[in-house]
Amino acid sequence: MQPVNHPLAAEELMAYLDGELPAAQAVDVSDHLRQCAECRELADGLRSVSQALPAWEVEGSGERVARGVMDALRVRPRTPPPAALQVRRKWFGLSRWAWGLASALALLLVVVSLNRYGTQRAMLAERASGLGPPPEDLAAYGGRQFAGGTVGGRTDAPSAPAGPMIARTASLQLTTRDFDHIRARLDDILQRHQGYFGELNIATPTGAGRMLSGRLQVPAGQLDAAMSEIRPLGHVDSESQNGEEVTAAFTDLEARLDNSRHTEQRMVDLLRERTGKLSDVLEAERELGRVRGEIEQMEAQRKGLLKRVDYATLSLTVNEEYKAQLHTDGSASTQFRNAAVDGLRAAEGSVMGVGLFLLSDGPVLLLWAAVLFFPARFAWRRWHARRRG
Amino acid sequence: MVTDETLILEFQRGSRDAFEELFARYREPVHGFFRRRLPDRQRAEDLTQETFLAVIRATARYEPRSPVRTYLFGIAFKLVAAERRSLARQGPAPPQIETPAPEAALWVREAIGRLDPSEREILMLREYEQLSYAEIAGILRMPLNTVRTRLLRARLALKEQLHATR
Repeated sequence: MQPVNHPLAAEELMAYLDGELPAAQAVDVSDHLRQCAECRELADGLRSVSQALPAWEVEGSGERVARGVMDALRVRPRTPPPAALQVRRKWFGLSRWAWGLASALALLLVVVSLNRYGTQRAMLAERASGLGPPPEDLAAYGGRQFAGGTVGGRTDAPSAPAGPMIARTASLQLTTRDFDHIRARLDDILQRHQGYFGELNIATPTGAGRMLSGRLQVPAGQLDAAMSEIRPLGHVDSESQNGEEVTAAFTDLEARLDNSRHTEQRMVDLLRERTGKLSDVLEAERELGRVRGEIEQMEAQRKGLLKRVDYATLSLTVNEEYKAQLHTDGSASTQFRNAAVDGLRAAEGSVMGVGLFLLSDGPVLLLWAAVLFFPARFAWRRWHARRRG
Repeated sequence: MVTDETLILEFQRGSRDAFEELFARYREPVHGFFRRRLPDRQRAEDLTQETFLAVIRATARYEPRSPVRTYLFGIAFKLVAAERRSLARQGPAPPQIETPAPEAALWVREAIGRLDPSEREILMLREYEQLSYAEIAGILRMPLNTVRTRLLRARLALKEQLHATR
């Protein structure tokens, strides 16, 4: 309908005829109409339609309409609407702005809360996994350096450490298909790296794969090499490493041990050189015994500390990749009973899980649902209205 | 002249005279709205009455955000939509005995009847109820530009029919 060279759309021309154009635009259209015969023809056509339509007249409404309405009016109380309604209306009148502001604040709160929640979760997860800030270079701490000798050639009474003392721990979880040979392979690796099993457990549960869990003690300098040989034994499910600096604790222990040894020596000298009452001698010997007990305790701590530094601890869990077996043992009734028990346990666990979830997260979800309900409804209505349009 | 909005606010405060004035102004336009859209004269009167009864019942909730005219035809539009749904469920209605109408009126009625329903509604709201484009968009819940486009399409279709008959 609209010729290419026309500066106005047919809709604009129609809006002009309907008095729907702003004054400035209407002037432009009017000017154009004076010059353009084609648009004048279109305008005349549209006018002719509008002039033809009033020919469809309808009869007037019957008296019963007026009667019904006036009857209803008469039974309506003359009093204005209750105050509660007015207050509600006013409240809702304000609500467009209030809800807009509330929605913006709610969204801001959600973003801030989620951000904080995420940070806290990350911190908690970090603490739970035992991973503090990672050491600058764990590999550099692989061997403890002492003024009196290295780990391998450590003397029984080393002097203060020249470098940091790091007690290394690591954990590794694997899943393997070849579980039958895992033990032999681990023994082999430990032998080559001068390590040993601190603890070893093998479990063979029914209806699940076998599991080996153990604590491997490996010379700290050999930990990385040993782990790199253990990893290929299966699929690594998880791995973590940790390094705890114990230099300060060791130095403190050494100082206290020195003091106690001096005290012990002085008391021995006193007992040897001085004479006195029997009760004093007995008291001195009791004190000497107490000091020696402390020394032995501290020496045990020292040895334990040195062992933690010398030998890294690797917590290893190896799970067998489970292949379901066809069980023919056990009577049918037992199997049915077991299945029923398993089913009940699963149902109980499921109910407990849902209950715990509702109790722990329900209030938060309810809160946000309440906060976000009105903005969401508003957005839904807008979207729905546009869709219908 | 007192505006419609003033009248309805006075009616909110309890003035029956205000409502009677409002009723007098809109009784026939609202009846015409229904009569042009429904085949049954009785139902048109029923719904006209129902529209004003709805206004009486909802006066407490009225807010002067839109003109009273738009408010009234908005109610009427919802009522006619419900009536059409009800008629559609009931199946085809028996033929109505129409009052004899002039030839021009018949032509217009038939020509409008041949339009697409959505275009027809817009055209009728504009031509018979004299609503602005924005008011039509508000009642039909559609964008203003859609109203303009469909209205133009309806008018051009009628123009073609008008030329064909001449």
